[in-house]
Amino acid sequence: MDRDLVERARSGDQAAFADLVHQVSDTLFGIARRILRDPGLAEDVLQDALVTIWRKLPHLREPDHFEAWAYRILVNSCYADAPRNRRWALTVRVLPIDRASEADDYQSIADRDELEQAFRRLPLDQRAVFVLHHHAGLPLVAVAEVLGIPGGTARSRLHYATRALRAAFEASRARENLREGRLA
Amino acid sequence: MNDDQVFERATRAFLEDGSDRTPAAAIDAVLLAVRTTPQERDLRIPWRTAPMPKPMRLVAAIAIIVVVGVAAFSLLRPSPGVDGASTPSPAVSPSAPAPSPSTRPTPTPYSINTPTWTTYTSARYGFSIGYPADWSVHTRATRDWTYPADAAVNMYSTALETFVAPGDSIAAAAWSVAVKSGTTLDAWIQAYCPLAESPAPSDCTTMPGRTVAATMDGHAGSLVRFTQDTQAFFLVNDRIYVVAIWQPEDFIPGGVSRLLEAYLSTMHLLPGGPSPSGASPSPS
Repeated sequence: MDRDLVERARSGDQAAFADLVHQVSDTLFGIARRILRDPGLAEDVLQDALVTIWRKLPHLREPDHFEAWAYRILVNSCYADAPRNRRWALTVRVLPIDRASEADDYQSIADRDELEQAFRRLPLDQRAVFVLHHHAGLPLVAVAEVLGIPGGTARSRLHYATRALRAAFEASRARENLREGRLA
Repeated sequence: MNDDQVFERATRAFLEDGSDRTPAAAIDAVLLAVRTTPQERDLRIPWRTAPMPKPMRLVAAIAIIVVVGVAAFSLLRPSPGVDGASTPSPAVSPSAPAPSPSTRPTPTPYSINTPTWTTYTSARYGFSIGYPADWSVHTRATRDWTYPADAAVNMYSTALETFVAPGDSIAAAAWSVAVKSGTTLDAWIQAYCPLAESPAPSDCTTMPGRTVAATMDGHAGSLVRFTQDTQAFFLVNDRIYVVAIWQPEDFIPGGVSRLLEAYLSTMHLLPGGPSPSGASPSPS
Protein backbone atom coordinates (compact mmCIF):
# COMPACT_ATOMS: atom_id res chain seq x y z
CA MET A 1 0.00 0.00 0.00
CA ASP A 2 1.29 3.46 -0.94
CA ARG A 3 2.10 5.15 2.37
CA ASP A 4 2.07 8.61 0.82
CA LEU A 5 -1.41 8.01 -0.56
CA VAL A 6 -2.68 6.95 2.85
CA GLU A 7 -1.13 9.99 4.49
CA ARG A 8 -2.65 12.35 1.96
CA ALA A 9 -6.06 10.73 2.33
CA ARG A 10 -5.68 10.91 6.10
CA SER A 11 -5.18 14.65 5.86
CA GLY A 12 -8.42 15.03 3.90
CA ASP A 13 -7.27 14.72 0.28
CA GLN A 14 -10.33 13.27 -1.47
CA ALA A 15 -8.47 12.54 -4.70
CA ALA A 16 -5.91 10.50 -2.79
CA PHE A 17 -8.72 8.63 -1.07
CA ALA A 18 -10.30 7.91 -4.46
CA ASP A 19 -7.02 6.33 -5.59
CA LEU A 20 -6.89 4.37 -2.38
CA VAL A 21 -10.44 3.12 -2.91
CA HIS A 22 -9.55 1.89 -6.38
CA GLN A 23 -6.57 0.03 -4.96
CA VAL A 24 -8.33 -1.74 -2.09
CA SER A 25 -11.96 -2.05 -3.10
CA ASP A 26 -11.69 -5.37 -4.95
CA THR A 27 -9.85 -7.00 -2.06
CA LEU A 28 -12.34 -5.69 0.47
CA PHE A 29 -15.31 -6.63 -1.70
CA GLY A 30 -13.90 -10.14 -2.10
CA ILE A 31 -13.57 -10.57 1.65
CA ALA A 32 -17.07 -9.19 2.37
CA ARG A 33 -18.61 -11.33 -0.39
CA ARG A 34 -17.05 -14.47 1.02
CA ILE A 35 -18.00 -13.76 4.61
CA LEU A 36 -21.58 -12.79 3.77
CA ARG A 37 -22.18 -15.11 0.78
CA ASP A 38 -24.31 -12.41 -0.85
CA PRO A 39 -22.82 -10.04 -3.46
CA GLY A 40 -25.58 -7.44 -3.04
CA LEU A 41 -25.16 -7.29 0.69
CA ALA A 42 -21.38 -7.31 0.32
CA GLU A 43 -21.67 -4.27 -1.94
CA ASP A 44 -23.71 -2.41 0.69
CA VAL A 45 -21.27 -3.39 3.42
CA LEU A 46 -18.31 -2.34 1.30
CA GLN A 47 -19.86 1.10 0.79
CA ASP A 48 -20.48 1.51 4.51
CA ALA A 49 -16.98 0.36 5.33
CA LEU A 50 -15.28 2.66 2.83
CA VAL A 51 -17.19 5.71 4.06
CA THR A 52 -16.31 4.74 7.65
CA ILE A 53 -12.68 4.36 6.61
CA TRP A 54 -12.78 7.85 5.16
CA ARG A 55 -14.35 9.32 8.31
CA LYS A 56 -11.97 7.61 10.69
CA LEU A 57 -8.76 7.92 8.68
CA PRO A 58 -7.42 10.78 10.82
CA HIS A 59 -7.36 8.33 13.76
CA LEU A 60 -5.07 5.90 11.92
CA ARG A 61 -1.69 6.26 13.62
CA GLU A 62 0.42 4.08 11.35
CA PRO A 63 -0.21 4.45 7.60
CA ASP A 64 1.67 1.19 7.09
CA HIS A 65 -1.10 -0.60 8.97
CA PHE A 66 -3.82 0.76 6.69
CA GLU A 67 -4.73 -2.56 5.11
CA ALA A 68 -5.20 -4.44 8.39
CA TRP A 69 -7.10 -1.49 9.83
CA ALA A 70 -9.38 -1.43 6.78
CA TYR A 71 -10.01 -5.18 7.14
CA ARG A 72 -11.12 -4.64 10.71
CA ILE A 73 -13.57 -1.91 9.73
CA LEU A 74 -14.91 -4.08 6.92
CA VAL A 75 -15.42 -7.12 9.15
CA ASN A 76 -17.15 -4.94 11.77
CA SER A 77 -19.45 -3.64 9.02
CA CYS A 78 -20.20 -7.25 8.06
CA TYR A 79 -21.11 -8.02 11.69
CA ALA A 80 -23.29 -4.90 11.87
CA ASP A 81 -25.14 -5.28 8.59
CA ALA A 82 -25.54 -9.02 8.12
CA PRO A 83 -28.25 -9.63 10.75
CA ARG A 84 -30.50 -6.99 9.27
CA ASN A 85 -30.31 -8.34 5.76
CA ARG A 86 -31.49 -11.91 5.96
CA ARG A 87 -32.48 -12.05 2.35
CA TRP A 88 -32.36 -14.94 0.04
CA ALA A 89 -29.19 -14.96 -2.02
CA LEU A 90 -29.22 -16.61 -5.36
CA THR A 91 -25.91 -18.23 -6.14
CA VAL A 92 -25.17 -18.64 -9.79
CA ARG A 93 -22.26 -20.87 -10.49
CA VAL A 94 -20.46 -21.38 -13.77
CA LEU A 95 -18.34 -24.47 -14.06
CA PRO A 96 -15.65 -24.84 -16.70
CA ILE A 97 -17.04 -27.09 -19.41
CA ASP A 98 -13.88 -28.55 -20.86
CA ARG A 99 -11.95 -29.46 -17.75
CA ALA A 100 -13.47 -32.38 -16.01
CA SER A 101 -15.66 -35.33 -16.67
CA GLU A 102 -19.39 -35.17 -16.09
CA ALA A 103 -19.05 -37.23 -12.93
CA ASP A 104 -16.36 -34.91 -11.59
CA ASP A 105 -18.55 -31.90 -12.31
CA TYR A 106 -21.45 -33.49 -10.52
CA GLN A 107 -19.28 -34.22 -7.52
CA SER A 108 -17.84 -30.74 -7.67
CA ILE A 109 -21.31 -29.19 -7.64
CA ALA A 110 -22.41 -31.42 -4.79
CA ASP A 111 -19.29 -30.61 -2.77
CA ARG A 112 -19.65 -26.90 -3.26
CA ASP A 113 -23.34 -26.92 -2.44
CA GLU A 114 -22.62 -28.81 0.73
CA LEU A 115 -19.78 -26.46 1.63
CA GLU A 116 -21.95 -23.46 0.80
CA GLN A 117 -24.72 -24.62 3.11
CA ALA A 118 -22.30 -25.50 5.88
CA PHE A 119 -20.53 -22.18 5.55
CA ARG A 120 -23.81 -20.25 5.77
CA ARG A 121 -24.58 -22.08 9.01
CA LEU A 122 -21.31 -20.86 10.58
CA PRO A 123 -21.41 -17.84 12.88
CA LEU A 124 -20.03 -14.69 11.26
CA ASP A 125 -17.00 -14.56 13.55
CA GLN A 126 -15.91 -18.04 12.41
CA ARG A 127 -16.52 -17.15 8.78
CA ALA A 128 -14.38 -14.01 9.17
CA VAL A 129 -11.42 -15.95 10.57
CA PHE A 130 -11.75 -18.62 7.88
CA VAL A 131 -11.89 -16.10 5.02
CA LEU A 132 -9.10 -13.88 6.31
CA HIS A 133 -6.86 -16.90 6.80
CA HIS A 134 -7.67 -19.03 3.76
CA HIS A 135 -8.68 -16.40 1.23
CA ALA A 136 -6.80 -13.23 2.24
CA GLY A 137 -3.82 -15.38 3.21
CA LEU A 138 -3.22 -13.78 6.60
CA PRO A 139 -1.39 -15.85 9.20
CA LEU A 140 -3.52 -16.55 12.27
CA VAL A 141 -1.54 -14.06 14.36
CA ALA A 142 -2.41 -11.34 11.84
CA VAL A 143 -6.04 -12.47 11.72
CA ALA A 144 -6.22 -12.14 15.50
CA GLU A 145 -4.69 -8.68 15.29
CA VAL A 146 -7.10 -7.55 12.57
CA LEU A 147 -10.11 -8.79 14.51
CA GLY A 148 -8.83 -7.58 17.87
CA ILE A 149 -9.11 -11.03 19.45
CA PRO A 150 -6.58 -13.25 21.24
CA GLY A 151 -4.58 -15.64 19.07
CA GLY A 152 -6.13 -18.65 20.82
CA THR A 153 -9.62 -17.42 19.99
CA ALA A 154 -8.70 -17.03 16.33
CA ARG A 155 -7.27 -20.53 16.33
CA SER A 156 -10.36 -22.09 17.92
CA ARG A 157 -12.71 -20.25 15.55
CA LEU A 158 -10.74 -21.53 12.60
CA HIS A 159 -10.80 -25.02 14.07
CA TYR A 160 -14.58 -25.04 14.54
CA ALA A 161 -15.18 -23.61 11.07
CA THR A 162 -12.89 -26.15 9.42
CA ARG A 163 -14.44 -29.00 11.39
CA ALA A 164 -17.96 -28.01 10.33
CA LEU A 165 -16.97 -27.65 6.67
CA ARG A 166 -15.09 -30.94 6.74
CA ALA A 167 -18.05 -32.75 8.24
CA ALA A 168 -20.31 -31.36 5.51
CA PHE A 169 -17.80 -32.26 2.83
CA GLU A 170 -17.45 -35.82 4.07
CA ALA A 171 -21.22 -36.20 4.28
CA SER A 172 -21.47 -35.08 0.68
CA ARG A 173 -18.83 -37.61 -0.36
CA ALA A 174 -20.55 -40.40 1.57
CA ARG A 175 -23.87 -39.63 -0.09
CA GLU A 176 -22.20 -39.61 -3.47
CA ASN A 177 -20.53 -42.98 -2.82
CA LEU A 178 -23.88 -44.40 -1.81
CA ARG A 179 -25.48 -43.07 -4.98
CA GLU A 180 -22.74 -44.56 -7.14
CA GLY A 181 -23.10 -47.89 -5.29
CA ARG A 182 -26.81 -47.96 -6.05
CA LEU A 183 -26.25 -47.14 -9.69
CA ALA A 184 -23.49 -49.69 -10.09
CA MET B 1 -4.59 -37.59 -3.59
CA ASN B 2 -5.50 -38.14 0.06
CA ASP B 3 -8.66 -36.96 1.84
CA ASP B 4 -7.00 -33.84 3.25
CA GLN B 5 -5.86 -32.75 -0.17
CA VAL B 6 -9.26 -33.39 -1.69
CA PHE B 7 -10.92 -31.38 1.05
CA GLU B 8 -8.39 -28.59 0.69
CA ARG B 9 -8.93 -28.45 -3.05
CA ALA B 10 -12.71 -28.39 -2.68
CA THR B 11 -12.50 -25.65 -0.05
CA ARG B 12 -10.21 -23.58 -2.22
CA ALA B 13 -12.53 -23.96 -5.19
CA PHE B 14 -15.48 -22.99 -3.01
CA LEU B 15 -13.67 -19.89 -1.73
CA GLU B 16 -12.47 -18.78 -5.14
CA ASP B 17 -15.93 -19.01 -6.69
CA GLY B 18 -17.29 -15.78 -8.21
CA SER B 19 -15.92 -12.39 -9.17
CA ASP B 20 -14.26 -9.91 -6.82
CA ARG B 21 -14.65 -7.01 -9.18
CA THR B 22 -16.28 -4.17 -7.26
CA PRO B 23 -19.28 -2.79 -9.18
CA ALA B 24 -18.41 0.67 -10.51
CA ALA B 25 -21.66 2.08 -9.13
CA ALA B 26 -20.59 1.12 -5.62
CA ILE B 27 -17.32 3.00 -5.95
CA ASP B 28 -19.08 6.02 -7.47
CA ALA B 29 -21.53 6.05 -4.55
CA VAL B 30 -18.69 5.93 -2.04
CA LEU B 31 -16.79 8.75 -3.69
CA LEU B 32 -19.95 10.83 -3.86
CA ALA B 33 -20.62 10.18 -0.18
CA VAL B 34 -17.07 11.14 0.69
CA ARG B 35 -17.61 14.56 -0.86
CA THR B 36 -20.29 15.30 1.74
CA THR B 37 -18.84 13.39 4.67
CA PRO B 38 -16.46 15.23 6.96
CA GLN B 39 -13.58 13.32 8.47
CA GLU B 40 -13.51 12.95 12.23
CA ARG B 41 -11.00 15.09 14.02
CA ASP B 42 -8.21 13.30 15.75
CA LEU B 43 -8.25 14.86 19.19
CA ARG B 44 -5.85 12.47 20.85
CA ILE B 45 -2.84 14.09 22.48
CA PRO B 46 0.36 12.46 21.28
CA TRP B 47 2.26 10.77 24.08
CA ARG B 48 5.71 12.05 24.83
CA THR B 49 8.24 9.48 23.72
CA ALA B 50 11.47 11.06 24.95
CA PRO B 51 11.95 11.23 28.75
CA MET B 52 12.00 14.76 30.19
CA PRO B 53 15.26 15.72 31.98
CA LYS B 54 15.04 16.34 35.76
CA PRO B 55 15.68 20.14 35.69
CA MET B 56 12.93 20.49 33.07
CA ARG B 57 10.55 18.50 35.25
CA LEU B 58 11.26 20.87 38.16
CA VAL B 59 10.63 23.92 35.99
CA ALA B 60 7.41 22.39 34.68
CA ALA B 61 6.23 21.59 38.23
CA ILE B 62 6.91 25.16 39.40
CA ALA B 63 5.09 26.54 36.33
CA ILE B 64 2.07 24.37 37.05
CA ILE B 65 1.98 25.46 40.71
CA VAL B 66 2.18 29.15 39.72
CA VAL B 67 -0.59 28.79 37.14
CA VAL B 68 -2.87 26.92 39.55
CA GLY B 69 -2.15 29.45 42.32
CA VAL B 70 -2.95 32.45 40.14
CA ALA B 71 -6.14 30.77 38.90
CA ALA B 72 -7.22 29.93 42.46
CA PHE B 73 -6.53 33.48 43.66
CA SER B 74 -8.56 35.06 40.90
CA LEU B 75 -11.47 32.67 41.48
CA LEU B 76 -11.57 32.98 45.28
CA ARG B 77 -11.06 36.78 45.43
CA PRO B 78 -14.29 38.42 46.67
CA SER B 79 -16.14 40.20 43.91
CA PRO B 80 -16.91 43.95 44.34
CA GLY B 81 -20.67 43.33 44.47
CA VAL B 82 -20.68 40.84 47.34
CA ASP B 83 -20.67 43.15 50.43
CA GLY B 84 -23.61 45.39 49.64
CA ALA B 85 -21.98 47.60 47.06
CA SER B 86 -23.72 46.01 44.16
CA THR B 87 -22.58 46.78 40.70
CA PRO B 88 -25.15 48.88 38.87
CA SER B 89 -26.88 46.80 36.30
CA PRO B 90 -27.44 48.26 32.87
CA ALA B 91 -30.80 49.96 32.57
CA VAL B 92 -33.35 47.96 30.65
CA SER B 93 -36.04 49.84 28.84
CA PRO B 94 -39.33 47.93 28.92
CA SER B 95 -40.41 49.61 25.75
CA ALA B 96 -37.45 48.44 23.71
CA PRO B 97 -36.30 45.02 24.83
CA ALA B 98 -33.06 43.98 23.29
CA PRO B 99 -33.33 40.61 21.62
CA SER B 100 -31.46 37.95 23.53
CA PRO B 101 -28.77 36.30 21.47
CA SER B 102 -30.03 32.92 22.64
CA THR B 103 -33.52 33.48 21.31
CA ARG B 104 -32.49 35.04 18.04
CA PRO B 105 -32.62 32.34 15.38
CA THR B 106 -29.34 31.66 13.69
CA PRO B 107 -29.72 31.96 9.95
CA THR B 108 -29.33 28.71 8.08
CA PRO B 109 -27.01 28.86 5.10
CA TYR B 110 -29.68 27.18 2.98
CA SER B 111 -32.69 29.03 1.63
CA ILE B 112 -35.86 28.40 3.59
CA ASN B 113 -37.71 31.03 1.63
CA THR B 114 -40.06 28.38 0.33
CA PRO B 115 -42.11 30.56 -2.10
CA THR B 116 -39.00 30.66 -4.30
CA TRP B 117 -38.61 26.87 -4.25
CA THR B 118 -39.16 24.59 -7.19
CA THR B 119 -41.94 22.00 -6.97
CA TYR B 120 -41.25 18.34 -7.62
CA THR B 121 -44.05 15.81 -8.07
CA SER B 122 -43.62 12.15 -7.26
CA ALA B 123 -46.46 10.20 -8.83
CA ARG B 124 -44.86 6.97 -7.59
CA TYR B 125 -45.12 8.04 -3.96
CA GLY B 126 -48.16 10.30 -4.24
CA PHE B 127 -46.89 13.69 -3.18
CA SER B 128 -45.45 16.94 -4.38
CA ILE B 129 -42.64 18.64 -2.53
CA GLY B 130 -40.58 21.78 -2.99
CA TYR B 131 -36.83 22.06 -3.00
CA PRO B 132 -34.58 25.14 -3.04
CA ALA B 133 -34.16 26.57 -6.52
CA ASP B 134 -30.39 26.20 -6.42
CA TRP B 135 -30.59 22.52 -5.44
CA SER B 136 -30.86 19.79 -8.03
CA VAL B 137 -32.77 16.54 -8.34
CA HIS B 138 -30.11 13.91 -7.77
CA THR B 139 -32.17 10.74 -8.04
CA ARG B 140 -35.67 10.12 -9.33
CA ALA B 141 -37.12 6.98 -7.79
CA THR B 142 -37.20 4.19 -10.32
CA ARG B 143 -38.51 1.52 -7.98
CA ASP B 144 -40.63 1.29 -4.83
CA TRP B 145 -39.05 1.70 -1.42
CA THR B 146 -39.46 -1.58 0.45
CA TYR B 147 -39.22 -2.58 4.06
CA PRO B 148 -36.89 -3.90 5.44
CA ALA B 149 -34.48 -4.09 2.48
CA ASP B 150 -34.31 -0.32 2.02
CA ALA B 151 -34.48 0.62 5.69
CA ALA B 152 -30.74 0.19 6.12
CA VAL B 153 -30.26 3.61 4.65
CA ASN B 154 -28.52 3.89 1.36
CA MET B 155 -28.55 7.58 0.63
CA TYR B 156 -28.10 6.99 -3.05
CA SER B 157 -30.78 4.38 -3.41
CA THR B 158 -32.83 4.52 -6.57
CA ALA B 159 -35.93 4.05 -4.42
CA LEU B 160 -35.63 7.63 -3.16
CA GLU B 161 -36.53 11.01 -4.58
CA THR B 162 -33.31 12.83 -3.70
CA PHE B 163 -32.37 16.50 -3.86
CA VAL B 164 -28.83 17.75 -3.45
CA ALA B 165 -27.52 21.17 -2.45
CA PRO B 166 -24.86 22.91 -4.52
CA GLY B 167 -21.50 21.40 -3.73
CA ASP B 168 -23.16 18.19 -2.55
CA SER B 169 -22.82 19.33 1.04
CA ILE B 170 -26.26 18.15 2.09
CA ALA B 171 -29.08 16.13 0.56
CA ALA B 172 -32.78 15.62 1.18
CA ALA B 173 -34.84 12.59 0.24
CA ALA B 174 -38.51 11.70 0.29
CA TRP B 175 -40.45 8.50 -0.22
CA SER B 176 -43.50 6.65 1.01
CA VAL B 177 -44.45 3.07 1.68
CA ALA B 178 -47.73 1.26 2.22
CA VAL B 179 -48.22 -0.36 5.62
CA LYS B 180 -50.68 -2.85 7.04
CA SER B 181 -53.93 -1.41 8.25
CA GLY B 182 -53.74 -0.73 11.97
CA THR B 183 -50.03 0.03 12.01
CA THR B 184 -49.28 3.03 14.20
CA LEU B 185 -46.70 5.67 13.38
CA ASP B 186 -44.76 5.11 16.61
CA ALA B 187 -44.62 1.35 16.08
CA TRP B 188 -43.37 1.83 12.55
CA ILE B 189 -40.68 4.31 13.59
CA GLN B 190 -39.53 1.96 16.35
CA ALA B 191 -39.21 -0.88 13.86
CA TYR B 192 -37.43 1.35 11.37
CA CYS B 193 -35.07 3.02 13.83
CA PRO B 194 -32.67 0.12 14.56
CA LEU B 195 -32.38 -0.60 10.85
CA ALA B 196 -31.80 2.99 9.85
CA GLU B 197 -28.74 3.62 11.96
CA SER B 198 -25.52 1.74 12.30
CA PRO B 199 -24.85 0.93 15.05
CA ALA B 200 -28.49 0.78 16.09
CA PRO B 201 -29.31 3.29 18.84
CA SER B 202 -30.04 1.72 22.21
CA ASP B 203 -33.02 3.99 22.78
CA CYS B 204 -35.11 3.27 19.69
CA THR B 205 -38.18 2.55 21.80
CA THR B 206 -38.33 5.92 23.45
CA MET B 207 -35.82 8.13 21.65
CA PRO B 208 -35.96 10.69 24.46
CA GLY B 209 -35.30 14.24 23.38
CA ARG B 210 -34.87 13.20 19.79
CA THR B 211 -38.47 13.20 18.65
CA VAL B 212 -40.62 16.28 18.19
CA ALA B 213 -44.00 16.86 16.61
CA ALA B 214 -44.14 17.84 12.94
CA THR B 215 -46.83 18.73 10.42
CA MET B 216 -47.15 18.00 6.73
CA ASP B 217 -50.13 19.06 4.59
CA GLY B 218 -52.30 19.23 7.71
CA HIS B 219 -51.22 15.80 9.00
CA ALA B 220 -49.48 15.37 12.32
CA GLY B 221 -46.31 13.33 12.47
CA SER B 222 -42.95 13.00 14.13
CA LEU B 223 -39.56 14.51 13.39
CA VAL B 224 -36.68 12.39 14.67
CA ARG B 225 -33.13 13.62 15.09
CA PHE B 226 -31.12 10.50 14.45
CA THR B 227 -27.41 10.48 15.14
CA GLN B 228 -26.46 10.67 11.51
CA ASP B 229 -29.47 12.31 9.90
CA THR B 230 -32.82 13.97 10.55
CA GLN B 231 -36.09 12.45 9.32
CA ALA B 232 -39.81 13.18 9.54
CA PHE B 233 -42.55 10.54 9.42
CA PHE B 234 -46.28 10.76 8.74
CA LEU B 235 -48.95 8.10 8.58
CA VAL B 236 -51.81 8.89 6.22
CA ASN B 237 -54.29 6.33 4.91
CA ASP B 238 -52.13 3.31 5.74
CA ARG B 239 -49.11 4.83 4.12
CA ILE B 240 -45.96 6.15 5.77
CA TYR B 241 -44.44 9.27 4.22
CA VAL B 242 -40.83 10.02 5.04
CA VAL B 243 -38.73 13.09 4.37
CA ALA B 244 -35.08 12.93 5.37
CA ILE B 245 -32.16 15.30 5.45
CA TRP B 246 -28.94 13.33 5.27
CA GLN B 247 -27.06 15.25 7.89
CA PRO B 248 -27.24 15.34 11.69
CA GLU B 249 -29.11 18.14 13.45
CA ASP B 250 -26.03 20.24 14.25
CA PHE B 251 -24.64 20.09 10.74
CA ILE B 252 -25.87 23.58 9.88
CA PRO B 253 -26.30 26.67 12.04
CA GLY B 254 -29.89 26.88 13.18
CA GLY B 255 -30.33 23.12 12.95
CA VAL B 256 -31.18 20.72 10.19
CA SER B 257 -34.73 20.46 11.59
CA ARG B 258 -35.55 23.95 10.34
CA LEU B 259 -34.57 23.00 6.84
CA LEU B 260 -36.57 19.79 7.13
CA GLU B 261 -39.60 21.73 8.40
CA ALA B 262 -39.27 24.03 5.40
CA TYR B 263 -39.39 20.98 3.15
CA LEU B 264 -42.45 19.68 4.99
CA SER B 265 -44.24 23.01 4.59
CA THR B 266 -44.03 22.61 0.82
CA MET B 267 -45.20 19.01 0.75
CA HIS B 268 -48.70 18.08 -0.40
CA LEU B 269 -50.28 14.68 -0.90
CA LEU B 270 -51.69 14.05 -4.35
CA PRO B 271 -55.49 13.63 -4.33
CA GLY B 272 -55.32 10.30 -6.14
CA GLY B 273 -52.56 8.92 -3.92
CA PRO B 274 -49.54 7.16 -5.34
CA SER B 275 -49.66 5.54 -8.74
CA PRO B 276 -50.29 1.80 -8.35
CA SER B 277 -46.97 0.01 -8.08
CA GLY B 278 -47.54 -2.64 -5.45
CA ALA B 279 -47.71 -2.36 -1.68
CA SER B 280 -44.75 -3.14 0.49
CA PRO B 281 -45.05 -5.18 3.65
CA SER B 282 -45.28 -3.40 6.94
CA PRO B 283 -42.57 -3.83 9.57
CA SER B 284 -45.15 -4.50 12.24
